[in-house]
Amino acid sequence: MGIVASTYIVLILAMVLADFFYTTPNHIFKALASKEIQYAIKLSLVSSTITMLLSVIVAIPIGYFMARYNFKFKKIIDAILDIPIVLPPLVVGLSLLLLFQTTFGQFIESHLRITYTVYSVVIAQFMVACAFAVRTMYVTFSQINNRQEQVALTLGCNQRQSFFYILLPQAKSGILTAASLAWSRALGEFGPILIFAGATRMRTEVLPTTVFLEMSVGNIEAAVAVSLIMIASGFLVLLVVRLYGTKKQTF
Amino acid sequence: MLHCVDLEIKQGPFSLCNISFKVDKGEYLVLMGKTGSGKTTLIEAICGLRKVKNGQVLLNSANITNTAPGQRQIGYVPQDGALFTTMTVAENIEFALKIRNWPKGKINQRVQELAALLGIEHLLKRTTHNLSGGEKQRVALGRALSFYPEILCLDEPLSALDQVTKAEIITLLKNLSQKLQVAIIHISHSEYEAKKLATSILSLKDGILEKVSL
Amino acid sequence: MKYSGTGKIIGFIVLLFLLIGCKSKQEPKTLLVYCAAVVKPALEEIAEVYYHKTGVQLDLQYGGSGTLLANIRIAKQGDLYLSADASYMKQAITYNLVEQSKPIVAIAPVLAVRSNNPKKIKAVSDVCKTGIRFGVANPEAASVGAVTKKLLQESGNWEAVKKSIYVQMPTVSDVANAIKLNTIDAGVIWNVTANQYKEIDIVKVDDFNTYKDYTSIAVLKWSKQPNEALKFTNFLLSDSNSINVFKKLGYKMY
Repeated sequence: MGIVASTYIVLILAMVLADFFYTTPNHIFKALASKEIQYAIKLSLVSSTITMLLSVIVAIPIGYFMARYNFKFKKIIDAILDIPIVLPPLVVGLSLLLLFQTTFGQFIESHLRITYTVYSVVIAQFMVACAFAVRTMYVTFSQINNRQEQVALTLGCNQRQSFFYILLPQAKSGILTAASLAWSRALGEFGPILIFAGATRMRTEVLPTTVFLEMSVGNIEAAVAVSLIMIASGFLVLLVVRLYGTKKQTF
Repeated sequence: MLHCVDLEIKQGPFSLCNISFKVDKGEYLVLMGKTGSGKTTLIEAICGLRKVKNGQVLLNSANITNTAPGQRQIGYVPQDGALFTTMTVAENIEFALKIRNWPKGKINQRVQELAALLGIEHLLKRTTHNLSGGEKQRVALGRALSFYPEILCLDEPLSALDQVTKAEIITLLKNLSQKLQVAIIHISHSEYEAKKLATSILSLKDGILEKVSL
Repeated sequence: MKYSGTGKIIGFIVLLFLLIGCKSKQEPKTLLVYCAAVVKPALEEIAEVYYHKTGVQLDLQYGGSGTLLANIRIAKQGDLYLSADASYMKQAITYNLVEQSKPIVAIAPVLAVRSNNPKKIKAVSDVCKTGIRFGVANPEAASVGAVTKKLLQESGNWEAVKKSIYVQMPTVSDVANAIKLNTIDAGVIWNVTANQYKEIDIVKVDDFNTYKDYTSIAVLKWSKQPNEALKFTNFLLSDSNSINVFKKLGYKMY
């Protein structure tokens, strides 16, 4: 058991170390100084954060209805919610591209250009990240006994009040998990973005795209430097969320 | 005061039929029955947390069968309290009053009053996590009584307590029933508790309600 | 419900063997070819013919020329590299990945639009007009992108065009697909790529007239089977089967 467990952790760390030894602080500073990479960092952080917020806003009601209500075709809807998780990333990108070529998609495009713009970056990230947030919120709400909500109802709450005052505060650490999961998914999203948003520098280039483009020019050192920037920022965010989430529980 | 008329409640495979009884102000009704006999189901129906198939629930001759739980003025203490884990003890007690938009001063006054009555003044600022079983019951009672309900429904309030605490809470419940203008419905499977507290006893067996003489 | 511990272990071992089985099927004689996306259709057919004739399996790894080059440099394995144009082959020689290369087919960049040219695009200046969605391959990632940039710089149109580029994509196939899917109105792709799409028409523009280049193939230095690799190179360049496939698909031999 212990050997199996530690092998995996060592493997993860070894991977990161391999990146580390391929680059030098000099390369990282050079990467950080590049205008294109600065833009990619900015776009990645902003789009991932927007995706995270959207995902949580959507995942909370879906998770709530799935966990608290029984209705026809619930199993089917449950399976539908997993489609974005199961689909290969390329398929998600291609499907989105095709969706925005339909009459419905063209109607939206005629008001707001989506395909190959920053909006498509967020949509591509959202489609996948949200599925993970939904799953997390579903589990979170399922695990919370509804007795506190019932008491709240007898105390004078309506359904909405008992949801916001009683259930949501109990789900806080679950919401944090869902948010961090959505955020890290969005940050690492690549395949769908490449197809649905393209790889236009200074426009739709996110950090994974940068890694890809830098590798394509043979600038492996820069690609690794950007990878390390991603690893560091992702790790930092997850760590902060974990620390914050557990502080509440050990109270 | 509270009057159940020919209630029929379905719960999964089994159902309660022809449930009729009355409780009046100052009365202490103990509802007895084995585990799974439907005691909790019945009390949930009275509180409005469960749908009634047939029959009526009347409160002061008003039909409240389909009234939302929050409009019924019935205080409910479920098994082991179900305190709001994200709030302090004081926040638990004042919750119903905040929902009713009471002014702050009045809320504080009511919380102090209840805390004194229940002997939990020293707990008000604590979170609910490390309270003992008896303390939890006291807080849950305070929370259920805060809005001056006419009926108080208690679901096995003594079952998880040790002997000493049990005796304390029995004394407390007796006091409450005498001091407050409230009818109490108390679920229990212990005859000892029933004899100590009840002014009348009902027993639920195979979906049928029977009167038990004291 | 009776899955014993040994049952699970046996199941796991069976899975492991199945996995190894997947690999060893290709083991006998396999050549790993890093192949620029531009010649994908031809290489696919030729690989099949070659397998039937010689029993040698070709593992084709597709991508933009630059992307492939980076992969090769990191992975340090494989037998052949097939670049879209000569410039990447020069890089491969600089990085000391290959020694010498041979040209295969001639290629040239073209301005491509949807068939029948619905947006009436006649010149490079037309793609700068508002409402025209113009796509190119990433100059960093794909050779057609680099060539596009170079040629437009020479004709003096690059600065204007650069501002109106609607999207950049990683390979020439992505640009062609985007034209087919109607997500862009015009793009620069290789003439040989354009020939494979019946939904795509070529607009003759002066900017690209002067350019002549060729895809080329080279044996990678660390190939463990350089003779096999060389044999395939010769087949690709001079066997009538191979030449016919290229001709059929609209490629011109060098």
